[in-house]
Amino acid sequence: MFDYQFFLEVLIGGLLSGVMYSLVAIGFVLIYKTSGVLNFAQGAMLLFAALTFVSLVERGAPFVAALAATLVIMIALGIATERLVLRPLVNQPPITLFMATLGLSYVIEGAAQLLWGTQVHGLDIGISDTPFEASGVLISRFDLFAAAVAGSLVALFALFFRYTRTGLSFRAVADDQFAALAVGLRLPRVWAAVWTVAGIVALVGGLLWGARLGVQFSLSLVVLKALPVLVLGGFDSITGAIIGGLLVGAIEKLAEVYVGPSFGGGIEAWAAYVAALALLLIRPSGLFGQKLVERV
Amino acid sequence: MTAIATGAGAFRLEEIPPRRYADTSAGRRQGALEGDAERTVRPVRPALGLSNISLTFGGVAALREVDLEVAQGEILAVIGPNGAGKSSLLNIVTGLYRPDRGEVWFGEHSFREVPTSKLAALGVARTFQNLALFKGLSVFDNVLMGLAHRVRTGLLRQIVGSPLARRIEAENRAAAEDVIGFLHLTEVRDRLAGTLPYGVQKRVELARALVARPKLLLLDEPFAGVTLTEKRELSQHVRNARDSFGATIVLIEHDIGIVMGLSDRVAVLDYGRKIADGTPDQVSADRAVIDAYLGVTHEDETELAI
Repeated sequence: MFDYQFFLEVLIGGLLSGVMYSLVAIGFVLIYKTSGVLNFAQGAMLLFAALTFVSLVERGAPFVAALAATLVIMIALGIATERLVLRPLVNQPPITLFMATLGLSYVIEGAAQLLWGTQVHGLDIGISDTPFEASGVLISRFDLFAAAVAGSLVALFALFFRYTRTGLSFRAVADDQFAALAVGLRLPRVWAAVWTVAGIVALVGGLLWGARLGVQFSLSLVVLKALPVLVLGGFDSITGAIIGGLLVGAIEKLAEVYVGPSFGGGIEAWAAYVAALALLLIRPSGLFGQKLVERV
Repeated sequence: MTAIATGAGAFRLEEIPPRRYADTSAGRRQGALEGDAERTVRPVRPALGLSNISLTFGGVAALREVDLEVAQGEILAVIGPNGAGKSSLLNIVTGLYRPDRGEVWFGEHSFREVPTSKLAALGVARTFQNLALFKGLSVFDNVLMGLAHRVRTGLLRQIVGSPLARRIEAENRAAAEDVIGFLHLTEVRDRLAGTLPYGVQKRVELARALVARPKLLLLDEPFAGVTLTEKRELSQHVRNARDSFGATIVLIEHDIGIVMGLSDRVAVLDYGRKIADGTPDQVSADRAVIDAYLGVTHEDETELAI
């Protein structure tokens, strides 16, 4: 007999952990949408943010002060990236920019370890990872908290994009760079702002992931988890990143529980990639991505 | 806490003065010329002046010693066969090309090379032959972007909604609403620009150019690809823009019928030279113009020229 309650528990657990994937993917989407760069350094930024925060706290800084200081550092990092990496490479082909961010990710990782050392840190953000029961279904407190944080971040972004002038500039640049130049928008400024926002997303993601996995070098590898999310949702849609994250989370957990046993388990690590590959064959631009229409 | 700190950081970001490499020298030059202008009080200068402009691409002369003056509030059409140098002329005025010789005047300011980034501040707006609209934004947002160059309030003020930010935002929105009403775009105000018929999109682009109340409006083939009915409407809108906003208008156009009806003055280019410059009547009776352009291209245009 099909255990409905158990299925629900797995599904909810999957969806909640999927939100964490969305959080990483949104950082990619922001930058990809506005500057056409697939920023491989997003994971390194995440690691850098988490490591900086943890190190500050361990050196005795109060939680709020450490958060504010890390935020300022992430903003500086965003501006510096635009100034030193993106601006000299304006008008270069996408692959050049991608390689630049790949290089950047090593520089950031190296800098993070040079500054704060290589040991693994525990990160406690005050939320216990104990499950509670809601009408017979066990739900992880931490997952729920993470999902709430990610959800409110996304809601804030939505409001920001909709109602502020800078948000409108973001949307304009994302829509058409030529037209943005034509109306006199300063693209470097918008890019610097976007990288700043991506830095903030990295900070939030870094804290949540760091609390879950411990703050260590391998944290930067969560980018690899973001890839199937981006392929499923589309590289240029924030909605896509959210839905994609939820899908990946759900697919992983459900596959592990229901399909895993027939493969001998361990399917969770690669089930999402299989789903992403399958979707690539049907819809190369993802579920929510813009279709490329080339006019000749 | 996070939100406020976020704003503070990005606020500082907005305050960083834009660093433009190429513009510094042009700015200095402009400053020097402004000084001159104050000392010698001249009568009202033309809104746009080109003096002795020459431009070559390799060995090909795109423009040769072109002089042109457009009076305040005038509608001037630049016509000529393909390759005559019309677009080159517009690109020099907007700073995309640097002329080999000659100067461009906007009122009191003269430039050897027009600083593209200062155009909006100088009161110059343009539309594009192939449209440069934000297809994925609403008509209203598109028009609002016409004010993007204005001094903006910092991000923090936008987020907390300081009185200044609110006032500026309200003014900008009112200006956008005004122009949308003026160009009869109210019905499509919230539609995505990319979903509208081409003629309406052209009108949206005109609205975006007009929202900043430019002193000089450059229209690159505003009637190309537009149906006959839309052409009549659009030309009426262009005339209204001049009458209501006092904008000086320079347009490049191929439709001779429209040009003759709309313009106060017509300048004709052929092989990079200005071969005629006068009222529509004068120009359409000009022998050189008939030979170079009107008489030999299309039958229907010859009729108009007679």
